[in-house]
Amino acid sequence: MNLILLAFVRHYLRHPWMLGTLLCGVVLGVTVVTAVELTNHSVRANLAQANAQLLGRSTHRILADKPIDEALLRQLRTDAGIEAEPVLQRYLRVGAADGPLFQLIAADSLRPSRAGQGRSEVVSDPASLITTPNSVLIGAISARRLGIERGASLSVQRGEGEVVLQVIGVLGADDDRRFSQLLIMDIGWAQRLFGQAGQLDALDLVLQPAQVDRVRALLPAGHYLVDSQAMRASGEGIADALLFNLSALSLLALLVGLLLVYNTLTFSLLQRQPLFGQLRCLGVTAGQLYRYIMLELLLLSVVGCLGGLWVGVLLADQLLVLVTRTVNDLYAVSPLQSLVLTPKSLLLGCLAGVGGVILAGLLPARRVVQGAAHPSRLRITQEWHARQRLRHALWWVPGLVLSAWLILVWPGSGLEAGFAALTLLLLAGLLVVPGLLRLFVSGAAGFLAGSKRRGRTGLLLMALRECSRGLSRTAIAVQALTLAMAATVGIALLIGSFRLTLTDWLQQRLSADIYLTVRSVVPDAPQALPTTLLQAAAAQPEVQAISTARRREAQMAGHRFMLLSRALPAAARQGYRFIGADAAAVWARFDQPGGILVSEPLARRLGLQRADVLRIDGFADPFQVAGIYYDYGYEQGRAIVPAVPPSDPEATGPRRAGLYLHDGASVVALIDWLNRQPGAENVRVVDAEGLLARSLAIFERTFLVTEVLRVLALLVAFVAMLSALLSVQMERQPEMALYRALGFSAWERTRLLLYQGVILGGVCGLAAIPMGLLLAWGLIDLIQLRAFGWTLFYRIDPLQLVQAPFLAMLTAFLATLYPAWRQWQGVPRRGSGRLSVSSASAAAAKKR
Amino acid sequence: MSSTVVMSAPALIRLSAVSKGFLSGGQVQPVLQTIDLQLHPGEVTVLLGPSGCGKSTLLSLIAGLEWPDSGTVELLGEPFSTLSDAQQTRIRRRSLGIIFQFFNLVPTLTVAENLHLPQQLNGLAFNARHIDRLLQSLGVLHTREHFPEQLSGGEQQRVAIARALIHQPAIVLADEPTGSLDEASAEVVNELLFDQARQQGSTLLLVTHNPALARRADRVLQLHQGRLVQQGRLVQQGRLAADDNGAT
Repeated sequence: MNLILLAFVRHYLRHPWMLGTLLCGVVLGVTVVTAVELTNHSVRANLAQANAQLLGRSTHRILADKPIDEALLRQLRTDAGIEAEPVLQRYLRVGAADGPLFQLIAADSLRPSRAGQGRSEVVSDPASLITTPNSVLIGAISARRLGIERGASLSVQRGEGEVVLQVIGVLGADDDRRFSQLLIMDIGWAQRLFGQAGQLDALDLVLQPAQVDRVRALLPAGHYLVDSQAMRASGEGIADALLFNLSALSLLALLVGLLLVYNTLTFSLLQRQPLFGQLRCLGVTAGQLYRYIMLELLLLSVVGCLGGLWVGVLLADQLLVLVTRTVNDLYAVSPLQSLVLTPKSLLLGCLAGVGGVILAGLLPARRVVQGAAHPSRLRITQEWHARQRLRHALWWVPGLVLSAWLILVWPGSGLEAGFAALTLLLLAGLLVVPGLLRLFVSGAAGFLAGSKRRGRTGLLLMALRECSRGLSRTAIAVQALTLAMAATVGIALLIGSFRLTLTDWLQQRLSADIYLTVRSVVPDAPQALPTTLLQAAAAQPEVQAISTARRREAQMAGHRFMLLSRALPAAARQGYRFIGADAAAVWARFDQPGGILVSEPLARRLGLQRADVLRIDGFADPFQVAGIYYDYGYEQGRAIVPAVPPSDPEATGPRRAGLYLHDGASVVALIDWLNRQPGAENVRVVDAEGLLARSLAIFERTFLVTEVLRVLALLVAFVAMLSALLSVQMERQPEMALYRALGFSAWERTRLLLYQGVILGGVCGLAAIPMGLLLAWGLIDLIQLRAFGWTLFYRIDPLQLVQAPFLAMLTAFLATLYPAWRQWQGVPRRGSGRLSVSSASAAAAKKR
Repeated sequence: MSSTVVMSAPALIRLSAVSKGFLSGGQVQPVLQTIDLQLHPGEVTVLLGPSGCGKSTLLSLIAGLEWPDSGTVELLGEPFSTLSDAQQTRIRRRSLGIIFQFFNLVPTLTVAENLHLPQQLNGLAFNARHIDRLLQSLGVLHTREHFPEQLSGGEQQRVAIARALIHQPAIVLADEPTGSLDEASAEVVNELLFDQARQQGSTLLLVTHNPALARRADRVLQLHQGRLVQQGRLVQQGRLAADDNGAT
């Protein structure tokens, strides 16, 4: 066996806490990156799969403002010779009302076509689907999860009631994910099940470019043709900004993890510097030594990666639930919820771990290899060099700040640039932290030294001086803790500001008393609110006014956005706030022909300003921007035109309506009355308070993932602090022996360590306040604005700021407990120092 | 004195006008100044001098662990100070044995493994008989499977001597190897060091505070404030006869 490797391995076996800390840092970093990458990939894959199932392999889709008559399908197939496939899809919950969500796809069992590939091709036994009422095929994975087999009954929730379906077959192989959470039913039974006999949601077509205009000409009024490819791209990229944000947060946790690894590695290598010196004296070349250290790092990172991947997969499974729910809440899209393990995602986690560890180890390894040839160098020299390095690092600060500024002002810089700039600014802040610590402890020590009560504060003075003296070992831990605390402060401020802004916005916008929406989980399904119901509601004496909204996808300058046609009574208009414009002037322009309101996200994406003239694809006449309104609902952007704009060729019926009641009218009674009206079973009727509560609940759920990542970052920082203080304690053991010999009690020695921990934590917490504010500014003004186009209004809660130093001190205090306990126990040290060697030798001699 | 000393043979170690200083408080503090020195094959030399006079630095320069600010260091006829680190390391591995006052042994290897390490680095197979013989001759065979922390200070230094000699190096450099031991232990360890070096015909340069050791040396060097003030043979206690090649 190679003795050098053996010596390295035994070093870690003798210092299990060090090995544990190192592995912990790698495991935590890899865990977070892997979990987020897997979650993001799974959400994207699930969105793509849901889209494929929704859209088949069609090139175009026909949608309409009302259910499409089957006659159009026949006309297209027989008269025009177009490959067309009927579309009827719904989401159903299996079992209880909170059971798993399944996508039910109706397939044309008798006549599958290329347009429906990915859906109807799987129906291998069409006859039984047609002949058995309410019969379905279910994906093999889901069947196994639910414990059902062919011939079993499957109870599902439909609207307000429960329906029993008959499982007549299982789709795909046991591991075929394509059919996960999927039910397939013959279209005839599906139409009856959903009360849509002879009616369809949409038609999927496979068109040659030359056929597009011919099909458009065949479409009845209220029907329109959309490009499936664009819908697919839009559907799959819908959550990109959200997922990008999660990736960035995971990288923050990775960064904290790598700081921890760097800190522990530095200590581990410095501790072995005499050994490396010996090896160099024995004839090990610098290159050999470097390679051995790199091999050690590689082995450590691989072991850490394996652990991280394992925990990451477990965490991803939980995160996926949260993120899927968030995507569903934010974008009204229901991606499936199955974890997709791909070699790429796992490899990325490995690369982050292995690459990160190697990167974190390069500098300390180079330093010890260089230093190994100089065994005569003393610890004081190392400290001097460490202080020099920290001082030199300050020279980088102006350069980093300048680089960040340049990135931000660079024309066309986007979200990635925002993250890059924020990272540089945080790095600059971190470089300043050790200097601040030195300044603080020197000042405090100077004050105490000159104090009349010096005799009583001797221990505190010693602890302060040790904080400054031991910076070579604690600087990185201090930076890691500061970063984690800053993340805590910054994210808390972001969430607080977001909550304030959103609550304010929702309260203004939800100005109606009752809201009616079409009960549908399929985006762009052609349902509209029943006209009769709206007319009946308008005729009620309690109802003062009604606002309506219908939406459709539109495109402008290659960007897809949501176009709303709204009838807005005066009461509804009060809920809008405009950027840099007087509301009265905005509404006056809006009411004139060609007036359009543009949401802030859309304006930012397209660089629109007030009074700009727009051309929306499919509209003959141009629009002029009457105003830009704050909006936090849809990051791709929205625009509002007056209801039934004269030039809209594809106008559809309203999908939402708001009822404004007279003062004193009973909301509950009117809701009850509305629910009893014909056609109300497909309409969700809610009061404004309920909607507000639901929206805020969605908001809280959205930030749950962020909270999880924040806690993980904090956990890593805790381990970093623990590791650093353990390192300090282990090295100070001979010094403690001296204190013991001088007559310091165990409690006094313990206090010395505790003071040191609390001082380090306190300074980290104080430094975390300005850095947290910087992070909050970056997240709000750089990231959220660039990712979502949302202007958030700051809400700085002093309590959250004050929490940081206390939380940091608590973390540091907890991290000091174990070293302090060891001190109390007086655990002898096996190691390399002079005193320890002689004491160990003395102990051995005594034993003999 | 030893018959192995061949003064007419070419010098194994040759220092010519070597100077070295260290940066302290922004200024270079000279540690060694224009040192000229030659050590011949099989010669046992003791380097005396007060603390801080540059003895350890001189040893580090000879071992290639430090680089001279000016002058040249030749080892085995090679311009050692101008060689690359890899070339220096190869010479060190093959031809040098170094013993320090502290931390001589790899703490995570047993005594036998510590002794095998130089053999392994030189591409030699594990030679248990040679290891045992050497440990036996130094009186520490019973510690063969022990870790360094389980040994007394004297035992540790004996093992360190064994490890420095295991690959039969041409040159052995010892930096106060008994500085941390009591008088009795130090006496035994020094005795063994001198005997083993002579038995193997190695050139030994021993740094010490102890003038009594000079009696056993072929040559005695004295360093004072970075200068080699005397070099010669001890003719009687406290008196040195100047070398033919002259004191600096």
